Amino acid sequence: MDNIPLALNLTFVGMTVVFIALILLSFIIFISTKFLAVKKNGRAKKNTTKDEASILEIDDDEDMNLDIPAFGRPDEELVSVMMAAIKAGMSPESQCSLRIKSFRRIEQSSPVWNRAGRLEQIAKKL
Amino acid sequence: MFWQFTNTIADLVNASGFVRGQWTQYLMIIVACLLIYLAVVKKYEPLLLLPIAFGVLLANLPFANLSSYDEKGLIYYLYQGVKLGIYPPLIFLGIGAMTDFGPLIANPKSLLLGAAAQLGIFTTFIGAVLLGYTPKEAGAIGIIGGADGPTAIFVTNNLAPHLLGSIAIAAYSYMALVPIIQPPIMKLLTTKKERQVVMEQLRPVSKLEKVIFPIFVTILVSFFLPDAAPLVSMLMLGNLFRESGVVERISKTAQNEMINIITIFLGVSVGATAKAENFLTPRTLGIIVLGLFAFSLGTAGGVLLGKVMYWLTGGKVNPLIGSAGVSAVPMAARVSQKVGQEANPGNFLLMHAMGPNVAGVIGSAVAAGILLSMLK
Repeated sequence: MDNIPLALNLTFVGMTVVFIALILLSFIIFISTKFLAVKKNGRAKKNTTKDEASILEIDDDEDMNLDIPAFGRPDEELVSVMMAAIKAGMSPESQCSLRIKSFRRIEQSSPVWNRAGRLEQIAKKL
Repeated sequence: MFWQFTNTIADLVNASGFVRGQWTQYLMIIVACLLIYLAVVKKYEPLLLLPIAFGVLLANLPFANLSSYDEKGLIYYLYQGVKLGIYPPLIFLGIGAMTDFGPLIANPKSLLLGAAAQLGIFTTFIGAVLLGYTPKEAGAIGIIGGADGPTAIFVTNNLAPHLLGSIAIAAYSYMALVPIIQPPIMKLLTTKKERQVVMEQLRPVSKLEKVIFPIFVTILVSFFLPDAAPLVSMLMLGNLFRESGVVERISKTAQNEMINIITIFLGVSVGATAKAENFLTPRTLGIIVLGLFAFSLGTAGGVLLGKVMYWLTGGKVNPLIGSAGVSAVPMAARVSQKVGQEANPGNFLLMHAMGPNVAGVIGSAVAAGILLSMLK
C-alpha cells in the first residue's frame, strides 16, 4: 500500500507525457504537411508557367507555310495535338494525368538556329 | 558379467532425466507442448510462439543445461542479446523497415488514438501494485497492455528480469488472441450507428513527408524520453531505410533475414527463461490475469477516445479504429476492419485503422520510456 501514491503519480504523469509527446508529434506532422503543401503548390505554379512557356511556344512566323489554326478560339484538334505531344515527351511509365486548361501565344524567344532545326524535324515527320 | 551389465544399465537409468526429473519440469514440458500445439495447429503468432515454446521445453529438460541461466550452455550465450538489450531494438529495426507510416502521416490525429490505447499499461500498473507486486514488477506487467512483444521484453529485462518468461508468454499469447479479445469490447462500447461510419479517403502522402517523418520522430521522442531512444530510433532507422529508397538491399535484409534471425534467438532465449521454479508460481497466474486486464483496458481506451472524436467531428470518425491503437500490427487493424464490415459490409476501415495501429507502436515505446525513466 506504500506504493499507491507512486502508482497514481506514475499513471497520471505517464498518460500526460504520452499524450503530450504524441500531440506534439501530431502537430509537427500537421505543420510540416502544410509547409510542404505550400512549397509544392509554389513549385507546381512555377512548373506550370515553365510548361506553358515550352509547350505553348508556337512560332508566329508567316513564312513557315504551316497550317496553324487561328488562335483566340478553342480548337479541340489543337488541344489534342498538344496533349499528344506532351504525353509523347513524357516517360512511358509516367502515370501522371494532364488537363489543358488554357493556351495562349507568347513572344518568340528561341534562337533562329533552334527554330530552323525544329522546322526541319517537323518537315521530316510530315 | 551379467550383474555388471545390469548395474551399468541401472546406473544409466538412475542418472537419466526420466528418474531425476521433477514433476514441475514434466508439467512445464506439457505447457511447452501445449504452446507448440497453439502455434502449429491454431497458428497463434507462430513466428514467435513456436521458438518461445521450444525454449520453454529446452529450459525444463532435466540436466540438459539449456535454460537461459545455465552458464556455458548454448542458450545462455544467445540470451546475452536479451540481457544486454540488443534484440528488441533490432526487432524494431525490422518492424520499421516493414511499416508504412503513410496512413498516420495522412491523418496525424490518429496519434491521439495510439496514446489513448496506452491507458491499459498505466491502469494495470496500479492494479499490480495493489496486488502486492513491487513497482518494478508492476511496470513490467503493465507493459503487456502495449501489445508489443519487443517493448514488453525490453522493459521487463530492465525492470524485472525474473518475470521475463511469464511476461513474454502472456504478451505474445494475448497478441495472438487479439481477434478474440477485442471484438466484444469494441461492440460493447459502440453503437451500431457508430460502427457503420464510413470515413473519408486518406490523402496520398508524398515521399518527402515519409522521409522526414522518421527523422522528426527520432529527434522528438529521444529528446523527450532518452530511455525510449533505443526502441524508437531503431524503429525509425528501419523506416528511413524503407522510405529513402536508396538502400533497398539493407531495407530488404532488415525486413527479412535480419529480423528472422533475431526472432529465432529472441524467441528461444526468452522461452528458455521459463524454468519451472520461475514459472510455476502464483505470480505467473497473476501476470496472466493482469495482462488480460491491461490488454482489455488498452482496447477500451482507444475505442473511448474514438467515440470522443466521433462526437467532436460530427460523426466523421469511426470509433472502431481506436482499438487498433494497442499496437499488435497489423492484427489489431484487421480486427477494426472486420468488426466495421460486420456493421456495414461496404465499409473499408483497414487503412484508417493502420494510422492508430502504427501510432500505438510509437505510443507504447514512449510509455516504455516513461516506465524506465521513473522506475529503473
